[in-house]
Parts: sequence; C-alpha cells; structure tokens
Amino acid sequence: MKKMKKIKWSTFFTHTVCILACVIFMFPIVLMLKKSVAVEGFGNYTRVFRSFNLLINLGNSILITGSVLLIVTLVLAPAAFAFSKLQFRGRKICYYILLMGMMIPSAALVFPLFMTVKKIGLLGSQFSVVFPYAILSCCFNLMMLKNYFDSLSDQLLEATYIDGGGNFRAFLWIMLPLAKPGLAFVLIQSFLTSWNELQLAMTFITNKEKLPISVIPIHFAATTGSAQFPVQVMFAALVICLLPIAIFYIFASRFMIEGLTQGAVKG
Amino acid sequence: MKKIICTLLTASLCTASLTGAGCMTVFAQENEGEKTVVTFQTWNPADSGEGSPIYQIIDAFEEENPDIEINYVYVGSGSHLDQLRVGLMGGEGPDVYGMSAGSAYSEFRDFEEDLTSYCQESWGENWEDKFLDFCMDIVKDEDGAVYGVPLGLTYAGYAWADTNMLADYGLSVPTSYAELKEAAKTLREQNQFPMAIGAKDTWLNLDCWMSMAADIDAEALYAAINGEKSFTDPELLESFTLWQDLFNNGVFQDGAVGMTLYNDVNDMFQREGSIPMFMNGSWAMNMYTLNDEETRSNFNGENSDHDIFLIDWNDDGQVCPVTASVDVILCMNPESEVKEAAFKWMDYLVNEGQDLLVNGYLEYMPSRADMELNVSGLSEDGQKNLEYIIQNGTDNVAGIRGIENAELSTVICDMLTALAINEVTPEDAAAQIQAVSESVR
Amino acid sequence: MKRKSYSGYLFILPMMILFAVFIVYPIVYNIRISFYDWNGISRTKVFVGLENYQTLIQDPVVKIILKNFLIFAVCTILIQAILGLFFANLLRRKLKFADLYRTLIYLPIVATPTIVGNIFSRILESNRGYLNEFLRAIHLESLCHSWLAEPKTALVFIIIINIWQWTGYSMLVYYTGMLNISEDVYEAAKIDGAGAFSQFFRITLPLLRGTHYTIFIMGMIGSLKTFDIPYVLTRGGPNHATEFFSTYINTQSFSLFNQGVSSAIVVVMFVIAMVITAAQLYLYYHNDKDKDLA
Repeated sequence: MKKMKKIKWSTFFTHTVCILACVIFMFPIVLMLKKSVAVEGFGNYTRVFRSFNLLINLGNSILITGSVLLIVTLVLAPAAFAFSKLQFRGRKICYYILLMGMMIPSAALVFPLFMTVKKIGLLGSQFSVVFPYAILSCCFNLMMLKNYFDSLSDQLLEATYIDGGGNFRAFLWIMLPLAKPGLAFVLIQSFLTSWNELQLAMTFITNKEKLPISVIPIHFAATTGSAQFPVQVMFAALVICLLPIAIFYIFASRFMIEGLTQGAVKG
Repeated sequence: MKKIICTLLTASLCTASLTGAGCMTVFAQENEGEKTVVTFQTWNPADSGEGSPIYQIIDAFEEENPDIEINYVYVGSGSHLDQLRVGLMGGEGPDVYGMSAGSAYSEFRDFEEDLTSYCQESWGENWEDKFLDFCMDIVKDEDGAVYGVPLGLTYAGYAWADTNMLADYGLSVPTSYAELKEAAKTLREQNQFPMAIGAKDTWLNLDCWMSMAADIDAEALYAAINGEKSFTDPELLESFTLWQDLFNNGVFQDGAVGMTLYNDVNDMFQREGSIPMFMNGSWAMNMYTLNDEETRSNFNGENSDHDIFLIDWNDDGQVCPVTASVDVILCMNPESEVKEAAFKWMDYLVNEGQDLLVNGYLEYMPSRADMELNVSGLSEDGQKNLEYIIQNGTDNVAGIRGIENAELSTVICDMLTALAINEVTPEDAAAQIQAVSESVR
Repeated sequence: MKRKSYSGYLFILPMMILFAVFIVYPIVYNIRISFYDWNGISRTKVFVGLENYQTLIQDPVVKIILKNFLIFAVCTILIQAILGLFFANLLRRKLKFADLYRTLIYLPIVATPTIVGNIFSRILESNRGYLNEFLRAIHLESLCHSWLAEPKTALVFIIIINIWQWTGYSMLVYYTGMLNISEDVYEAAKIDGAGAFSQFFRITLPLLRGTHYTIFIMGMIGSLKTFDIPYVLTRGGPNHATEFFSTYINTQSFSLFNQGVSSAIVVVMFVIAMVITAAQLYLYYHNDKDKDLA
C-alpha cells in the first residue's frame, strides 16, 4: 500500500518535470506553427504550394538524403566498427585524421569543394551534394558510432572467431544488429543535416528543377530592401520543409527502441 | 537492420527513377531548336513565385528574341555574392549577374567585362546621357571605363510616418529634431514606439548617419570619406554626438540595436500597422504595390495616409539631404561565350524591364534620365509620396549612398553601434575611424 | 585479445577514399590561402608569409572571440550534458508518453537559422517581446532588459538558445548510450538495495564514460564552429560582443574582402580543435589501456 503511493508520487513528479520541459522546449516551435497560420490561416500554405512546384524539390530532397543515408550506412558503419573492434597498424592516427573532417567550418569548404565536384563532373546534378554531405556526416558521426561499438562487449566477437567466423561475419551478423540504436541515431543526425543544408546545394546546383526543398523558404524570406512576402508565408514554407524530418525521426526512433529490446536479450 | 537498408534502397531507387524521368523531359524541351542560353544570376529583381515581374520581363524578351533563352537564377541577397564568387572563380559563372554598388563592385573587377564599347554600339555616342549623372559616377572607374549598367535608383535617409496614427496621439509629422524629440516623448508616455529603427542592420545605421552628417555639413562628410578631411573635425564630431544622443534621449526605441529592419521593424509598420514612425528609404515605396492582405489594407485601405519625410536634424530650418545609389548594377562575365546575347538582355532589362519594375511595381526609382515615370494604379497618398521623393531627388541629394572602401565602411558601422550602446564616446569613435581612414589610403 | 589483421584497412578504406577526395583539399587550400593577401576573387594574390597571422594577433576582436568561445564552451557543454543526462535518465524508465516527451525535447534541433532568428527576436525584443511582456505581467518591470541589444545579455541568450536547441541532442546521445546498459545490472543493484540515486551515480554515470568523452569533444568542436545562432540573432554584435570564430570568418571574407585573414582564422580554429581532440583522445585511450590491463 505504502509502496504504491510512493511510486505514484514519483511518477507524478516525473510527468510534471517532463511536461514543464516540453512546454519550455516547444514554446518557440509552437510560436512558429501559430505564426504560419496567421492572418490568412491555411491560405499561407496554399500560397507556398501555388508559388512553387514543391513536388519536384521534395523528390530531389528525398533522392539526395536517401543517397546520403545509404552511403553513410555503407561507409561509416564498417569504419566505426574497425576503429573500435579491430587492431591494425596506424589505427589511432587514421582515426584522428578522419576526425579532422568535423573541424572545418562550413564557410571554408564551399570553394574547394566546388572545384572538386567540378573535376569529378558532378556539378549541377543532384548528386553533386551527395558525396560532400555524406563524408561530412561520416566525419561528424564517426566518434559517436565508434564509441557505441566500444560499449558493445568484445566477448561476442570472440565467440564468432571460435566458431570459425571472420571479421566480416562478426561485423555483419553480430555487431551491426547490436549497434542499431547507435546507427539509428547517426542516421537521424545525417538526415537532419543533409535535409536542411542549403549553402552547398545553392552553390552547386543552379537548375531550379534539381534543387532540394530546403532552399524554398529563403524565397519567402524578406531580403534587404524588400519584403515581398509576409513572414507567415515563410513560416508556412518552413513548416512544410521540416515536416519530413519529424516523420523520419519517428520512423527511425522505432529502430532505436527495437534495438533496446534486442540488446537487453543479447547483452 | 536489413529492413533499414532495404527501405532506404527502395526509397532512393524509386526517387532516382522518378527524378531521372523528370530530367529527361527537361532535356527534351531544351533540345528543341538551337537557342542561345544566357544565364542571369541575381538577388534582385527577386523571384516571388509565378507572375513575378522578372518572369514577365523574361517572357516578353524571349518573345521578342526567339533565339535567346534566359536562364534566370535567383539567389537570396545573403548568399548571392558568395555563390557568385565561387561560380566565377570556378569558371562556371553566369553570363550576366546583378552586383551591389559599393566595395563589392570594385573587388569583383577581374570578373566584370568592360562594357563601354557595348554601350556605345547599342545606344550611340551620347549614351551616357541616357542615365542620370551620378548613376554614371557610380558605375565608372577612375579611367572612365564602365563595368556595369545601372538598374534602378534608391534614395536613403528618409523616415516614414503613419499620419493617422500620429494624429491619434495628438501629433503631426515632425519636421525638425526638436519636434521629433517632443513627439518621441509623447509617444513613449503612451507606451508607443517613438521613431523606430532596425539598428541591428548596420547598413541602415550608415544610411541614417550619413544623411545626418550631410545635414550638418555635406561637403565635410564627403571630404572625410575621401580622406581629405579628418573625422575628428568638429562638423563630423557633431554628427557622432547627434547619433549617440538619438539613442540616449529616447528618440529611437529601446533595444534598437537588437532589431533588424527586415522583418522586425518593417513588419510592425508595413503589415501590423502598429507603430507610427520608422526609418527606411525610398525603396519602401513598394509598400503601395505589394499584394498581401495586410499591406494592402494598411496602405491602400480607405483613409490610409502615410508620409515619407525628411528631418531637419541640426535645427537650421532645412531638412536633411538624401543620399543615392544604384540598386542593382548589371555586369557581364568576361568569360561568357554569348556576350552579344548577354548584352541584348542587359539592354532589355534596363530599358523595357526597368519600365515594368518601376511603373508597374515601384521596385526602385528610375536610373534612366529618359524614362517617364507613370506608376499605374498608385493611390493618391502614394502619388503624393512619390512626388516628394522625386522632388528631393532633383534638388536635395547630398551625394553617393554608402562608402566604397570596405574597411572604412566597416569601422564606421562598428562605431555607430558602439555609440548607440554607449560603449564609446563620440571623440573616441571619431579617432578610431580616423585611424582606419589613414591606414587605408 | 583483439585480433591483429589486415582486414581492418578494408573496413576503413571507403571512408578514407571519400575523405581524401573531398576533405583533404579544402584543408590544404585554406592553409595555403592563409599565407596570401587576397580579396577572395581577384586573379592575383600576393604572398605575404605570416602577415595574416600577425594581423590576427594584433586584432582586439580576436581576444573577444577567444573569451566568448571559452565562456560559451564551458556553459553550453556543462549545462547541455547535465540536462541531457537528466532527461535521458528520466525517460529511460518505463514511463507513459516517454516517446512523446523525448520527441518534443529533441524537436528544437530541427529549427533552421531562419526560425531561430525570427522567433527569438520576437521573444526577446525590448518593447513588445514576449519575455519582457511576461516580466511586466508579473510585475517584475525592473528585470526587463533590451536582451539582444546589451552586450552581456546578448551573449547569455546566445548560450541559452544554444542550450535550447542542442539539449535534445545530448539527451539522445545519452539515451542511445543507456540503451546499451543491460537491465540486469540495475536489477542486481536493486537487490543490493541501491536507490534510484545511487543506481544513477554508481552504474549509469560510470558506464557512460565513452559517451561523456563524445559529448565533450562534440561540444568543443561545436562551440568552435558555432555560427548560425549568433549570426541570425546578433550578427556578432552589438559591437562584437557575441563574435565567434565563424562569424568573424564571414565578416572578414564578405564584408572586408580579406580572404587571407579569413583563412588564417580557419587554420587557427583548426589547430585549437586538433589540440583539444588529441588531448581528449589521449586521455580516453590512456584510461582504456588501464582498463584492458586490469
């Protein structure tokens, strides 16, 4: 009897703290949503759809982000695994060099990357931004994912070796499934950054038909000396652009939870 | 895990094939006929969706020149120069591009074609008469060569007022600094904004200060900018003191350096109609032509009455002069392979194009001397303000807006902010500006 | 105990290739430009040796930047880590709506610079901003400030907004790390009579050691590179009060056309980031070795 009451109180406390935190964290976002339907209500949204053919840009964004996630998965996961679980000469120095990738400020990247992309012959296509986004995401998340592998027990690996399996088998069938939450987290972050990026996209792609959706809101943003569109239309455009992120997040966090139950069984 | 990869693979493959199909149709269209494609990149005239004035101009041009196609690339003002620079240096620059007046125009010189001969060929020997004198001053270099053609003209130094709202507070539009101080006091007592300024935008501070300094002594101001006079001289010192006072005696709103003109302050005036006065230039005339519900009802509603006005900052009985600059300088990429077609487009844009931009949308004042100003559908109130701008444009211009030298311009902007938040005295500010002014000569 | 093998190279090869193609050149490029006097666009540049670095040493703004970086880094890293840990630990347990709470706390991370700029300037505006209106409503007029117009409060709010935006990230990193701690460990502790507090301090905290390192390095590098929030909110002002490395890089290259100086700042940033990371990695591996030996 006494114990039940205690549990209830702590649950009540937890909920209060969480709700309070959510209110604080959500206030600016709610403000944005409210602004996006100001004055003309959902007319702001129709105005965005009327002004641009968003479907093409949305398609481009999905293509770009999808390819980035694919590359990140194929490139980052094995690298993080190797740095965490395998021994080879120059491991630490390679790791350190790769980490340098996350230290460059984006402003310093634009022109040199432009030249590289031009040389490869990708300039102007949607794929011009895919590789830069992918490698930047890889560098940015390498440490995170490597650390996640670190926290997985080595014993499972040894069990594979005893069974006669090699590193590839250990990676693909033992470690990767266990690293699901870490990988899901990395993919969420990569999705977010490549979905929202616009500096490189605008510089590398000049054809409107090939631009991702992230560049749309700036068409509605007031610029020096001109305020063509009311702020609320820009907010409507922003909400439209950000919605897919929320959807992806919910989708990806499912994988995380799935990892939780699996990890509990195996770990 | 496999599920993630499978989903991702299918998703990206699907979209790849979708967009692939999209690309093909685009290519198919492009291949019809052998058209010369001119790429035009700018932040202004802006792309405001279908039916924007720029698309009307392009359509009309392409109809007249069926062999030329304009590939218009709009980039927001925030990243236009950066992108332009990358494109030009990487050998992938546009054929024609918009450039802002000031330091960037001269810094980009290596990538600006000398247009003197093109202008002569297309417009005759006396082509310079086509444009207003000081538009030519802005686009010419020391040797008289022209690297860009001016599109649109802008005057800075103005303030705007909502006369009806002022009347509600028992006020009329202030004309002198003394009146403005009184008005600000009355407004503040009733919890209203005094004169509003978006002082986070340092370019606006520079605009306002220049017209104040010009009101005190225009000759001294430009002499100092050209390095022929010290910024510590009394005429200029007075302007810095005046600027600081405006923040200290409450003429400008509290926390002014935390607000931008676009959108913070502008929205309050243009759309909400919730403040009586703000500092903004002649380009704000497009408030009369914008088509969104709020702006329309605020500016073209029944009885709405707004005034663009100038203030007599030094109380000598004469309102301050304005400064003027070119809105967009159209430049040509020397590496362009379609220079002839490119200039045809530039020609069309400053002539027929400007007609539409000015008379249809009041985006700017005309840069051409030979252009007839006949704005369609402007309300009586708007017409009155337009005439005021034109009047001052003919007899009350102090000189060129802005400062060409980047270092000098930046240090003045920095000091104006520092003065506004009382982190520096007018004397110190003047001395620091003078030090930079001397170091860059 | 780990097997030494050559297949490790195969695992890291794809990433190494991508890195070599796309990242090495930008690094080299910036180092090279930092030795030139160049406006960033002209066809000619003049070699000036270390002059750009000298300019930086004499520039009073650089001192402000270093100070801002330190204050910003210490405040944001600590507070974000503590808040992140707190919420992750709270939401780790079986709780109704935990998913929802986690999503909502994480959500600010999607806010693009445009959103941050527009929304927070409305909240923090002096005369009609929500914060001051709120303070007036509860009769605390004396606490009202021109938040973004005063140098000290401007920096404080840059920090607060960063915390608002990135706490969800730390929370998710910690949460992901906690998913890996087996429930059995907690069960065992419970049997030993450990309460929620001692469970947290004796199990959760030490087992997340790797995560703490990640959060710290990411926070340090994030602080070095911080750009969006000060740029949209204060443009580095008023009077450089919220200037950071990245905002100054922007000013140097786009307002002043000093590409050489701008690249020199990039290099300085880079060196700082490398030193911090190297020190951290050393500590991490150092302790790791001890653990392996024990």
